[in-house]
Amino acid sequence: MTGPRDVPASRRPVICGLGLTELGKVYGPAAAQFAADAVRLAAADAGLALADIDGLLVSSGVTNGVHLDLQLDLGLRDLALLSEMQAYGSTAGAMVQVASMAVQSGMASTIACVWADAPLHPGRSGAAAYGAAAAERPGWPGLAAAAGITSANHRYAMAAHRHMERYGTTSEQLGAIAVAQRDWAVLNPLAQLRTPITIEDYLASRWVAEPFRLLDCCLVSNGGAAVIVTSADRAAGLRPPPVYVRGWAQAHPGHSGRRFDDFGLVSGAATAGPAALRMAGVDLADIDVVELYDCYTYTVLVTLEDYGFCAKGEGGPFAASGVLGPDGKLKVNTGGGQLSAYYLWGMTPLSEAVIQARGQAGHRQVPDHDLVLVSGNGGVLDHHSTLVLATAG
Amino acid sequence: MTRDAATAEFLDATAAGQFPLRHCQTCGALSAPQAAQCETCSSTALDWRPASGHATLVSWTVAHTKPDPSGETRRTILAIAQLAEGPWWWSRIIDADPADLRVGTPLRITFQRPGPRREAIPVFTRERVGEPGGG
Repeated sequence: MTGPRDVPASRRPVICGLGLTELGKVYGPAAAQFAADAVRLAAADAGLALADIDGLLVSSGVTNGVHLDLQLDLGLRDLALLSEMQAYGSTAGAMVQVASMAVQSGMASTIACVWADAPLHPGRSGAAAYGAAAAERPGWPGLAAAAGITSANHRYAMAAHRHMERYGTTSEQLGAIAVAQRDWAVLNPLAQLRTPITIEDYLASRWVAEPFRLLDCCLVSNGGAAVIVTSADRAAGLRPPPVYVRGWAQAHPGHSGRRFDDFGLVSGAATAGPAALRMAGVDLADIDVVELYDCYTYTVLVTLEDYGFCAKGEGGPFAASGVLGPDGKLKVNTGGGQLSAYYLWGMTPLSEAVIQARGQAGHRQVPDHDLVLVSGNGGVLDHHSTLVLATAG
Repeated sequence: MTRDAATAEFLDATAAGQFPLRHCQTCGALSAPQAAQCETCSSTALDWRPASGHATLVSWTVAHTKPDPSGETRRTILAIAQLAEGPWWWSRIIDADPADLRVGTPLRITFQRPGPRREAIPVFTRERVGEPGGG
């Protein structure tokens, strides 16, 4: 692969802008409005005019509300790159990868990557927002729904339960992840849930789909997020500290749920992680900050294993060893993640990664933040993206 | 659910009390009902063969509804099972106590209709020792 180390220093891709709209129970704007706001905020953050943008990659959440006409909403003329992308929770990372390749090749110079969603409405729960889509589907998905499998909660719960049966992973070990991330969220003014929790609170939270309790599951948020990717030479004249995109990879295992021995036990992180680190020319031990896609506590556990922070099957004891949380030695999901901060699919780990790499994370800032590993995960461990971000090219 | 072109033949079979698998006319392998090509050799020359109805448990979850005002939840056991012929199937387990379930617990496919004139949905039940398998 032709990575950033293989191109002239001036052409190396850099994230130069980050835009986050108001997040959470924010009612009124449609997803496309959140998306336009996020791009405007990212451009302002970078010190760029909208007219400087010559590439736009857009993606939607569950309400599927962000499309190519975002170009027109933003008044962007003569784009050299425009596309809608969809690989579920791995899309944010995938958009940054495509943008980075476009910058390296010279195809486009300044590319906005945006995601937005607005599933929440007053008086309707997040579960209802997500469940509504499943209820009366035709064909094979409708057959699963008619049998009672109506939610990602169910599918991920079966993945996590398989891990527990195979390796002896426990509820308390999953709970350690929820508690550690809440401890980070307490320090994050952007987080929706900032009251500390204990393992007893976790164990007392209601069942959703065993082994998952409420506190194993992500939030649901309205909002939008955007990043702008440009070249190192262009970023040098801009205000924000540059965040280099040093390595990347994807993995899509292709387990159909029909006959696949590893379903639930391993994710695409197992192959994409090492590939991205290789492109960046760094080792796992060099990583300072880790921002993992966390639709559930279990997603964090399996991704830690697959990246190699611990051996396969040892994610439970590892997570419960005290290594996580603000006082732990491994800095994981430092903003509270999707469990406690905000749920913007892959933009949640990516946005916190940019904030940490820039050194702008305030009370939750990790002192050493030169290398940040970012995961995205979509489907039921079906789609994976990894990014290695760095403060130096 | 509503049937579509992809599920029509499958649902005709479940209405008759059979669980059909895709059978490859090229290599003879059996694939899951959803397969549009043979999972072994990629051939699209497929017809249907009834499964034995025997399966073993791969993983499961006890799904809870949101508590009602009295705090009660409805519980459903949802599962992945491996059919005796190899393919997996995802459905609920009726009439089982979650405490009795283990990886590898023998199950059997049966059918439930959610209402009159509704499609027959394949579901799992515990395989009782000494009882012949359905199918």
